[in-house]
Formats: sequence, C-alpha cells, structure tokens
Amino acid sequence: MGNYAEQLVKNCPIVQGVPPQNMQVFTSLVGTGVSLRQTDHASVIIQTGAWDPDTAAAVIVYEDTSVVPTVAQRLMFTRYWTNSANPASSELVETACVGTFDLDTANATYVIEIDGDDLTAWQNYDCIRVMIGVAVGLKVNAYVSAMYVLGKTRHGGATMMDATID
Amino acid sequence: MGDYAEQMVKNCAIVQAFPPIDTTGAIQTGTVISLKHHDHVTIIINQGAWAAGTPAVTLTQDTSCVGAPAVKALGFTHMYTNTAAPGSNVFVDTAVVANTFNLTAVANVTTVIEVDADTLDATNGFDCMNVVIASPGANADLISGTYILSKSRYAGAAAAMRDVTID
Repeated sequence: MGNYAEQLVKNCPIVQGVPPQNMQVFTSLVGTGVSLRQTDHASVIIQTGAWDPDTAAAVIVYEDTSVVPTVAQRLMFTRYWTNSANPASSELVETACVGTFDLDTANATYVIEIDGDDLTAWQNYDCIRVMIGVAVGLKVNAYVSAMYVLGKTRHGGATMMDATID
Repeated sequence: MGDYAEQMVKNCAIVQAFPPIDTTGAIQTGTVISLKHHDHVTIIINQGAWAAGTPAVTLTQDTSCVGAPAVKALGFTHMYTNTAAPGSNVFVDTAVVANTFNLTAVANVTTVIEVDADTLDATNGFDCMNVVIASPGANADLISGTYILSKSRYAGAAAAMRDVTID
C-alpha cells in the first residue's frame, strides 16, 4: 500500500540531481550531492527523452563524506527499475545489476532505491551523488534529467531540511 | 514526518509526464494518468537551461486516458517552487490564482503541484488528469515532467506498479 501521507513536497525532500539537458559528446554528468543525514532513504529517478540508437551512458552512484566531491567512492547497488514503454505504460521492471547499468532507450524512466544504511556511515560516508557517464555513440540526441526524492525523514513539518547541506 | 515506507517503486507509481526535451515553440501535453487506484499525485516539473519565456501551466481532468475523452480544467490553489535548485531543496509555497501560473524564466527551477484525487469531478466520470505546459515561444528551454502517484488503494508492489496510463 502506498503509505506516505499527505503532500510529497511536505514530507520528502525533492532535489534536482541533473537538470534536463542534452548530453554533450565526451562529457559525463555529475549529479547534485545530497545528504542522507536526516533521511533514511533516497529514490533516484532518471528520465531520458530523445535518445540516439546505439547510444549508452553508464549510471553509477557515489557515496561521499560531503555533498561536494571530497573522498567519493562507488556505492554498490544491486537492482534498478526501468520503464522503457513510457508514456504508453507506467509499469516498472526490476532488473539485477552490479553497481551500474546503462541508459540506452528513449523516453525511459529508471529508478534506483538506496537505503541510508547502504552507506559506509562508520567512515562518515553519509552523502550520495548520481553520475551519468559519457554517452558512448552519441551523435545528436541524448536528453536526460535526474532527481532525488528522499524519504523516511527523521524530522517532520512543512519546513523541509535542506538535503543539499550535510 | 516522512512516512512512506520502504521503496518508492513498491509504494508509488512513477510516470513520465513528458520526457526531458528542448521545448522551444512547442506545447508539452503531459501523459494522461488515471487516479482510479491512487488518491494523490505529485507533479514535478524540472527546468534546465532556460533561454527565455514564461509558459503557463494548467491541469486538465479527463474521463479517460486514451482516445478523445471529455476534458475540462482541473482546479488547484497552490504550487511550490525551488528557484535555487540544484543548490537547495527548499520550496516556497505560492497561492495559485485562476488555476494557472507561469513558469519563471530561470534555469534549473523545480516546481511541484500536489493534487488530491477528490479534487477531480468523479461524479461526472472525470478520474484522469494531465499537466499541460504552454509553449515558451521560440526559446531553447529544457524541461522534464514527472508524476508520482501515491496513497494507492490496494496493497503491495503489484498495486503500486498498476499501469496508471490505463483507466
């Protein structure tokens, strides 16, 4: 059952990870860093738009000790969900992975679910950042955007804490 | 308190309203979604690089997700904006007049609209809705839109995964 109550904007920090853009040749996209210090979960939602055939961009997630790149290291995740039938369907398909997967389909939605306890907190890694690698094979179009929705906040109220501050 | 439990993909339906796009000169008519199985939808509009233009945002309610259903305006009274994105996630609550507002001509803004299912005219069969962004004019404006449907009426991953593009 969908059991978060009331309005998302008043319950979960919503953060732009990567603003909508057309990827440039040989350029990777480093997402905004967000702190999980005050939330126990993050959903990373990535959307593609127009996308050249035979183009692939790898997605990885870093954990870090700060929201700005400091001593980042790869964060392992083992599953992602994708809907490559947008907008004709909203169904997400679960797929196993080993810490990375490729964006390779136009108009697709990809979701990664990360729990706060996935991070190496005992070494002060309490922040994450999504990175979209170089779009291999890119000719013209590789439109992408990403955002984070942080859930299970530890403190309530309409005035949300700023997850872009650690 | 943020009280949605576990994974969003297993509790909420996540749907592209419209994909990331350079919307120059074009209207973005969002995917029509059904609220038959959810009591709430959050509409998230992300702007990227923004040359100029302040396109109007409206909501439409529909009697079906497909074909040529009856449509009419859907009322809403608040919207939330974060003009400091991605450097912040703090949103400002702004009253909406006459069920429409204009996106600001600022790059990297995030705008959120919260819609309860009981604001739709279900009595007359309007149980679907979509967001519409007017053309910003001939400007290279990057934008994407997302729906997150919550408070599903049926439990479990399968319910959250229910295809909300089918009424």
